[in-house]
Order: sequence, then structure tokens, then C-alpha cells
Amino acid sequence: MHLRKNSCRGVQAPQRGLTTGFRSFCLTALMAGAVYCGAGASNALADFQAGWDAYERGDFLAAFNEWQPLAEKGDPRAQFNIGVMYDEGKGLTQDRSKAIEWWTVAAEKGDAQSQHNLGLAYLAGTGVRQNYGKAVYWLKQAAGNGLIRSQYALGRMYDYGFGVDKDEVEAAKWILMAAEQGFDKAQYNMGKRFRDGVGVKKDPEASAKWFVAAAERGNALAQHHVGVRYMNGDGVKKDLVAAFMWLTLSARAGDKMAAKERDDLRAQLPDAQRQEAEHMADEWRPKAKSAKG
Amino acid sequence: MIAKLLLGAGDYFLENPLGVVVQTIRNVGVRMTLNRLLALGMVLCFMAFQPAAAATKTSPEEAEKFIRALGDEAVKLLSDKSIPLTDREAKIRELLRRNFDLETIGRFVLSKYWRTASPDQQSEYLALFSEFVLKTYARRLGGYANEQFKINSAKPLGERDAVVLTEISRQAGPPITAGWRVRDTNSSYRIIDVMVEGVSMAAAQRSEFETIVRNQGLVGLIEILRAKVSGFSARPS
Repeated sequence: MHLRKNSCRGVQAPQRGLTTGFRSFCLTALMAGAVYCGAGASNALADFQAGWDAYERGDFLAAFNEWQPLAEKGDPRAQFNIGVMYDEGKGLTQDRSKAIEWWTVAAEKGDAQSQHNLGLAYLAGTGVRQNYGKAVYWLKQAAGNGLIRSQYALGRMYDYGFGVDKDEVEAAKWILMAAEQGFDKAQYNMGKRFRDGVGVKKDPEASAKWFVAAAERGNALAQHHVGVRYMNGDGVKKDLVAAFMWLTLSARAGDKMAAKERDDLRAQLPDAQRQEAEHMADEWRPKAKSAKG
Repeated sequence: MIAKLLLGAGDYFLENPLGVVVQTIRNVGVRMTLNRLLALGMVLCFMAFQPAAAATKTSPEEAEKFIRALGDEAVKLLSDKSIPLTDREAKIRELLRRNFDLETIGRFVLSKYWRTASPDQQSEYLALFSEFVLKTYARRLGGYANEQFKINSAKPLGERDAVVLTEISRQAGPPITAGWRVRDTNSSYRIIDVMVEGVSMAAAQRSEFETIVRNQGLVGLIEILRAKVSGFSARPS
């Protein structure tokens, strides 16, 4: 299989810099080839878990050598992970077209994460010519296989009419599916949809519910939004302490606009209330971790 | 030729934060001397971030201290192999988030389209851009080890900022020179641009984003950024 030959050629020693001299590149490629061929000769050495342990240590060459034979034999987990290593340039010369090759092999056999990554690669045009039609095709496969992130991404494609006819109702269907499974970005999006009536009927109550759900999962944009609502009494009872708490959380998560709003609000709050809000922010924990699937 | 160089560099800005432009230059076959590159980078930088009126001047000495502390912390994190890779990446991501002014960079990179974007688009773009920068750098750096860096000099840049020039030596390959543009933002110091071998990465990225927005609209750029941050990484089973 041509993948095997090409893969050997791209291997570098782990934890080295990206740009090596030609001589050292050839040397490492030869060494890697020797190690790989040794590993490939013995099935006992090909162990997925051992590959994962090596990967977590940052020993990418060892991880590659464990996974490559498994990938060659058709293990979709190994095919997916080798695709990631090429995509991110982990221990290998970054080569996105090789990532696409491996993900395509796994995706065609039904590996949902490979389908998802492949869909995104076609969407962004990384490692492959941008093709919205193919992006939608693969995202649909992954979404159908239950991946929440793919359901959300597919919804966005319908929103903008990328690779499909624009259809905000269909978009809302997929994004709601992801929101109901706890995906914070989808929940935030549903908050906006119910607020503006995009693909759903306007519903201020449902809008507030989804913004709060996303904020409680730690989404900084939603925390900012909820903070502003409490500050203005928009859809909720005006509560400057709650407003200060949500804006503080959003600012801590890196939202600079929320930081500005918080600083403006600071002047309006007596010290005791500000301290109470800061204490609440210190004690705050996400109600549930956002679903990542 | 310059446009081609910048577009190439832009491609790599967030993908290969270290060692990039050297590779890019080779790839596109452009022959420029280091001096010319440095001159180009300085001009772009000068153009890049317009100083606000009566803004605080950044002290080069303080900027140097800031970069030294940040570098020491990064090297310490990267060399601790007792922490699993995924956790190491998360820690680096947090370190970068605290020390990069991602809003300033993000606004600059979107150039004139920032003003025409709706407030929702602005928030969404900034969140995705920040995630994009942090994820790419953290994934890149997470696998590094044994890199050493030293500070060569620090000097004022433009009317408001300072640039700290560093050299990063690696086990393999020639050292990389990187310039860190630092701004005193009243409360703290933040990095607002990185110059690799003299080329402003923010300027390069801006050029690339402009092309995308011109061809695919701002929603096209936002969806591309979303795609770039939403992929799955390696998995344990």
C-alpha cells in the first residue's frame, strides 16, 4: 500500500525541531524506517495501548511505530491517530494530504471521528481542495453516527447554505439535537435562534433558558450575555450581583468585552456586593462539563 | 513577490509557530536576505498597530523581564515529561492565553472587516480566533522539549511598544530568531505580535484573512476558523 511507503519517508525523530538539515533528515528517516520495519515484522509489538502511552509521553516515533502496523491491517483507531499525527505534524513532517488519505480510509469504513475530521478538512480546505459538498457529505455521516460536534457543524452548513440549500429550519433541527445533548456552543446558538427567531419561532423564555444552560457549562460568550441580561433586567430580574458574577467569570475565561462591562459595573456596586459577587465567582463550578462528542 | 511570501507565511503562522518562515521561504523559492526580511518586518510592524493617543509607552527593560519570565515558565512546562501530553498542552494553552493580547491581535488581523461585522459576529470571530491561536500553538509546542532560548536585545518599536529579540536553539536545525512585540496595556504586559525571522506574523495572517473574506465573506472565514478548532485529536481507544 502506497501509504506505508510514504509514511516511512516522512518520519523524524521525536521532539526535534521542525526544520532539520537534509543529512540529519535522511538519517532519522533511515533510523525510523529500521525501527518501523522491525515493529512491523512482529505483530506482538503492535499494540494500540502502548502507542497511546508513548503518545502521551510525547514519544511520537514510538507511538507511530505501534500504530502504523495496526493501521496497515485496517484498525480505524490507529488510522485515525496516524492521520492526526500527520495533520498536526507530531513527530512527523506535517503533511495534511497524508492525514486526508488515512482519514478517508477509516471514514469509508464508518469511523465517525475520521468522518468528522474529513468533513472539516473539506470545509476549511486544509490538506485538500475546499469542497463544501464533500464537507456536508462527511459531516452527515458523522452526525448520523451520533457525533454531537458533527451535528452542530452540519447545522451551520444549513444555516449558510454551504454545500446544501440554505435551510434554517433544518439547521435548527441539528443544532437543537447537539444542544439537548449538552454541547455548550449549540446551546448558545439556540439562545440566539430563539431570541431572533431563526429557524424556530421567537421565544424569549426558551432563549434565556439556552443562554443560561451554556453559561452554566462554562461558555464565556454565554456568560457574558447572561451577565448583560442581569445588568439590564432583560428577560430576567435585574440583579447587579449576578451580573457582576457572570461578567467576572466570562472575563476570567478570556472575554475582554465582558471584562470592560465588569469594570464599568464595578463603579456602580457597593464594596460589599462586589465582594459577594467575586466570592460567588470564585466558588462557581460548571454544572456539567460540556459534551465533547 | 512580497504578497506571495506573506501569504505563505500566513499559512504557517498559526500552524508552525517556530521555524516556519525559514521553511516557507525555501518552499516558495524566494531569495531574500535576512536584512531585507528584517526591514520588511519592521515596516509592516510599524504600519501594523497604530498607536493610540497618549498611550503608555512600553519600557524595553520591563518587556524583556516579561518575556524572560514567560520563556522560563514555558521551558519548565515543556520539559516536564511526567505530565501527560494532553495536560501539558492544556497548561501551555492557559499560559499563552494569559500572555497574548488575543483581542488586539484578532481585531488587527480582521482589519477593515471588523468594523462592518455585527456584534454577534465580532464576539464569535474573537472567540474562534483566540481558540484557533491557542489550540494551534499549544498543540505545536506541547510536543517540544529541550529547546533553549536566549534574549538578544530589547528596544522600542513604534511610539508605544517594545520588541524583545530572542534566539531559540534546537537540538536539530539552525536556531530561530523570534521577535516578541510587547505592549504595556496599563494593567499588564501582553504580546501583540510575533516576528519570525523578521516577518510580522499578524501582518501575514491579516493578508490571508483578507483574501478569504473577499472570496467567501466573513461567514466563510468564521466557518473556516470553526472547522480548524473543531477537529478531534488523537484518541486513547
